[in-house]
Amino acid sequence: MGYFTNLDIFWAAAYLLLMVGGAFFFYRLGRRSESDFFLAGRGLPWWLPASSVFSTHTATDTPMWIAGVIYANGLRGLWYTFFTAWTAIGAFVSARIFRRSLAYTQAEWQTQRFGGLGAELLRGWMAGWQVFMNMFILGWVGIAMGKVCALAFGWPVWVGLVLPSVITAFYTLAAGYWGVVMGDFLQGIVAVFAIVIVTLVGLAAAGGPEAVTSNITALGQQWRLDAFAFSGWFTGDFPIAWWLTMLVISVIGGFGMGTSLDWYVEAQRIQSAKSVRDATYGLWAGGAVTLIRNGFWAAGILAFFSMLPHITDAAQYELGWFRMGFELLPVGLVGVFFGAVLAIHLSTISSHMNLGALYFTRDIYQRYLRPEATEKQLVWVGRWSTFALLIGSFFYGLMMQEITRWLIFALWLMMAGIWLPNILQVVWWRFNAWGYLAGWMANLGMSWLVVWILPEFGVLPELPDYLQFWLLMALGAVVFVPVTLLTRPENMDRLVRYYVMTRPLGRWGPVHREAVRRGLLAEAPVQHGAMPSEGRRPLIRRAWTPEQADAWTREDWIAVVLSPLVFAALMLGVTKLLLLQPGGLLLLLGAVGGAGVIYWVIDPKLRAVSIEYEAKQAAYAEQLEQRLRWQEEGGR
Amino acid sequence: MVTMDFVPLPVSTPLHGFFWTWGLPILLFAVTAVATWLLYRHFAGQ
Repeated sequence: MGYFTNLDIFWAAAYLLLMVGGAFFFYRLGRRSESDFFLAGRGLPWWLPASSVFSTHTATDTPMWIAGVIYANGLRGLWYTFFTAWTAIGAFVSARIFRRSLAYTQAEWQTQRFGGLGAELLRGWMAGWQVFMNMFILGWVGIAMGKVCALAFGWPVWVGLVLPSVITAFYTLAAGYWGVVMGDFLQGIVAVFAIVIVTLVGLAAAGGPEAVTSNITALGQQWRLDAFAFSGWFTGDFPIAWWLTMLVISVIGGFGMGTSLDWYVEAQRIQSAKSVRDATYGLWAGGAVTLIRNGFWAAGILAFFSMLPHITDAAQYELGWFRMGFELLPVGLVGVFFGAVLAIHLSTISSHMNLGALYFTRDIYQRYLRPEATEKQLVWVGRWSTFALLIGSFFYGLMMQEITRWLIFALWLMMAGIWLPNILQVVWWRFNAWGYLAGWMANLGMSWLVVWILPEFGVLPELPDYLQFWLLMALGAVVFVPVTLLTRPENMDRLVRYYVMTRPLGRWGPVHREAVRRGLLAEAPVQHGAMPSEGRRPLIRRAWTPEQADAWTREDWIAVVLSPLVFAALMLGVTKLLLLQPGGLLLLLGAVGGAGVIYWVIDPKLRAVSIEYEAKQAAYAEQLEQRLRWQEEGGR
Repeated sequence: MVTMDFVPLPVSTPLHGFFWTWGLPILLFAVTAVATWLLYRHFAGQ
């Protein structure tokens, strides 16, 4: 309690009241329908999903683990946070495809892309997994908040777990996703303020950026100031092979759905945007701001390191950012800082409460229990399942320490083996439900074997994590590729319906030709080149017909190639500029210029896609609801 | 089920005066409150 005066308590309470009250007042919108309670009626301009992407992924444990990797690894630690960069390509590829599918959840998308028993098994499994996953995340970040409250107030950990969650449930139950997304925006303002000011004050308190870098150099540890201080190709604690694997997982992962655990959360934000264009910019801007945030945190933690360079206990240095906030801010701002810590926490748990409730309501209750439920009933099921998730998260949180090790494995690590199937389901028409299911099942078994069992019996050495990834990917492919090729492709009626609606990227030739044969599409496949019927195509097309805009063209590829480069330059540029390192301003200007080029190249096309798709959306949404209630039209 | 013996940071706050204690918190509060009002006005009225 030593950090707080009465004035600080006043400010913390005032900000809490504003952020919770502001979100609560949207309850009139949230209660109107299922679509309002979970997607804000698909009516949001890009900056609201963007702020929600940022706020949801800024949790109380985020500054802890980022402080941990930066304190231990220097600026190399920034690359541990670069997994967020799946949004660089994801914004221009998977976000566009998913938004056009109109699926509420990834589980629902499975039954659009795949059909029959296999697809329903996938949907049921994914919905159940996500309900528990969100409950687990709520418990996980709740315990982190409990530790922060213990640091600040000396409270028992369970108080910090339970109290903020109950406050958040107040507006999440009432207003649903409308409350979540508005709360995220308000909480994002306060969080950004705190992240910026703590870094600047930390740098000033340490004597300024030059003092920070010269102190670290004087310690003989200037490698900490270089994000590219590799330890060799395969050796040491920061091998190039790890870095390249990280880039493949994150950057190439943007072509798939589910390649990052964040996908399941972002899918809801993508679908809540009012157009394809807003979905793209929302995901892109959310990812960009998150990486800029990492740059601020990294510079701040280096300042903390230069003041206290000899902490060996990870549990201590992980609290570096919180300690700078509580110890270096003046009376008054300490209260605002704690308000920001609450903001960071509330925005994360509100999203996961609503998302877990969405998977239960849409993919379990409405699909399998009561397909004919009314809108009012669905909103109430959403509220009750939010409440159940809240209670479940307390139990998870309180037994977290005993079960953490295997749960982290079960929920996180096993994502490696389904990375490739998650891309194939988007880009390869022939991949089918049984192949995808086989990928999941193979991965469940293989990851246990490779990570735990075989090393235990000495059959396999304990591999570094990047080699585990490649091995699990290869072992999985040995199973799911034959299963795919030995079972039948998905029903062509279903594939054509999905293709015409979402216009996916990749190898979809046979489906495209069938859609043309049925008269549903006008032209031959256009992947890279000119339309067959026109003369010379401009280098960068500025005027688009709907047919041209639906195809994937060189403009998309320019955005796809530039986007990850812009993200890396943003993150490194911000860090270097804050530390006044050479090249920081240049990198940042390059990133802004690159973003401008992407916008200039892709915006006319995204506008054309959005206008054209919007004309069809109402009819597509009606068909989606009919299929959800098992009123199939054609196909199986 | 976290109290630690911290080595305190070797410096204290570099920020002093009315602006940091009252001015900036009021300014940020006002910005957030106006944002709330604008959002509600814009949205509350598939």
